[in-house]
Amino acid sequence: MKKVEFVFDEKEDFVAKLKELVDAGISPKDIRVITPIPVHEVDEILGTHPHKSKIKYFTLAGALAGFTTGYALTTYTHLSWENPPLIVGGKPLVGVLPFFVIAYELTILFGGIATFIGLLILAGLPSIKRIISPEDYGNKFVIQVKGESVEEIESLLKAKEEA
Amino acid sequence: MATKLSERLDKIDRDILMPMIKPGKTYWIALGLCVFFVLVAIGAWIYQLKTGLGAAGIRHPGMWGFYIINFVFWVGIAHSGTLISAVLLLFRANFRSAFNRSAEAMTIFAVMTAGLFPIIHAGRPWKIYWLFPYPTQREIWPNFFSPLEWDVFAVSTYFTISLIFWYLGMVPDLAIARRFFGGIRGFFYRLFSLGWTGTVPQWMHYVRASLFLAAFATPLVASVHSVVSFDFAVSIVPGWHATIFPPFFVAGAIFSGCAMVFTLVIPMRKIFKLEEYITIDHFENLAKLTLFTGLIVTYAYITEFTLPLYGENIFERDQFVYRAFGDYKWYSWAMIFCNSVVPLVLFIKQMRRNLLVLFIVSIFINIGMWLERFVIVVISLAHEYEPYSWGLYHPSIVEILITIGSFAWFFMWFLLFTRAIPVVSIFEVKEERVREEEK
Repeated sequence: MKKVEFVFDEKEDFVAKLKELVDAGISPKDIRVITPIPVHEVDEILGTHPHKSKIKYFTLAGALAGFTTGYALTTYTHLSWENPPLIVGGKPLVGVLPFFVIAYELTILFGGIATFIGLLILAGLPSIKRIISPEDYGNKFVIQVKGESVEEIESLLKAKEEA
Repeated sequence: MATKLSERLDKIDRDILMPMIKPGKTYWIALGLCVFFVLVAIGAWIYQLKTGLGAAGIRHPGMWGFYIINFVFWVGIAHSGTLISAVLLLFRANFRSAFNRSAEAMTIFAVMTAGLFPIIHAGRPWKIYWLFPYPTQREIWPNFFSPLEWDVFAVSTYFTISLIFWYLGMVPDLAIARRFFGGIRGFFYRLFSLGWTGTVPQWMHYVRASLFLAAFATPLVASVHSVVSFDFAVSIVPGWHATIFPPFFVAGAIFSGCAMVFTLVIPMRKIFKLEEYITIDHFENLAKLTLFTGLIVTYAYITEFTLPLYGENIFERDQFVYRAFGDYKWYSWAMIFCNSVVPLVLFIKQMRRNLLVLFIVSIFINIGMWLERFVIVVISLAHEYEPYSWGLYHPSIVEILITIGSFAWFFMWFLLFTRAIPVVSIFEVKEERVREEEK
């Protein structure tokens, strides 16, 4: 498969080139960018703002599951002695307030774990291929364009310039 | 600037990672001492297991002694780690990147230390799984009305979330470390960096995940020490049964945690020559936070003391008179000196910027906060309602050795951490550096 790679030392050059490529009509889907730090300008150019990350659905699902589990576990265990019910300290069998502490903690626990799992799934980690042979450009800023040759890209850029 | 950006970033990598490569002689001596005291503590614990819990000094009425004091103390130390990393991330405070990695490490190790004490205190560690809800044929479940059971959930959640947060922050840095090390060590960096490349989708989800975890960790900080304070406040012991306890404990926890960050980071910065990355300005900001939480703690002391004197509950009033003038009065006054008087020097700017002063103040605060736990736990139990049940608590040698061992255990993990994991969050330092240069 054809692939063109641009490697930069400076962030500005890298951002400028990326903008140029996208303006010239190369689809963001065909561009793969590797940076040593998160670069916000890239988000604007490629439309990959963190807001758009689907990770929020994982977090929400985990948090709701945790909250439900917290109340379900406490209520179920306190009701599981059926006849007679096991009353502790003269308190109601199902205590909404004390059980809230458990529900609160489990909301955070499940929500946090789900966020982490969501990150692993969405970011394609762990990648066994990359653990064996890491793809590492050090502190350089890299743009890779898929499916085009150097000549094709050059002609695209030229066409853009002329227009 | 003459050099290229990528070269300047390379320099940051080298500066932060180089100290990990060759430990000095002091390091091995310190580590050896820690391991020695941990072994002594393990020996003391084995002795306690063989002879029974009577080997500890806990007798009626002082049924909570050094073990519970240490538990509360270490949970408190754990707090500012998450505070520094999570709350300051949400507020975008720029001094965060200097401290967050070591503060988070401190959190993990402090929770690991704290978690030992309920196990030691319970006396029969082989039955500790009874704390967790699991289906048994006896259909016996934990009592979810008990604050001690809330503690189990709060502390284990805190440990898990802190560990995830710490590890998540570390992944891009481990990907840097894998370039510097070969062999087995390099393999582990490759393995734990999970094949991180730094592509745009990875960063996109990563930034979002960090934000969400920070948003979870912040209320968690408040809840964990509130729950620990419920262990006391939900009971009816004079001196414990107070509504001010949750915020008082949370402020105290952050205060002691900040002090422990100073105690750990000031020597670490010097040994590792990280002056360029952990600056005096960073320390000054943290000193302000310490002063602020210290004032909250002082305010809580005042409230705690004046409300019983103002109120009509004679048992409460007697408890606080006893604290100030009774058998343990020196502990109370030492606590107030360490926590309320000494930190006042931080009002002076020159003092906030003097590392030696900060280090000494931090030691005082560490001692003071440990004494605070002592005052709350021991003095309250020694002087409850009925005079016939009054009594004094004296720690046994076993408890003292285990307490010393817990400090050694904590420092041992911290020392191991400084050699295994980048002590400063490299990619965040770079991000900050690039942002500053662009300004």
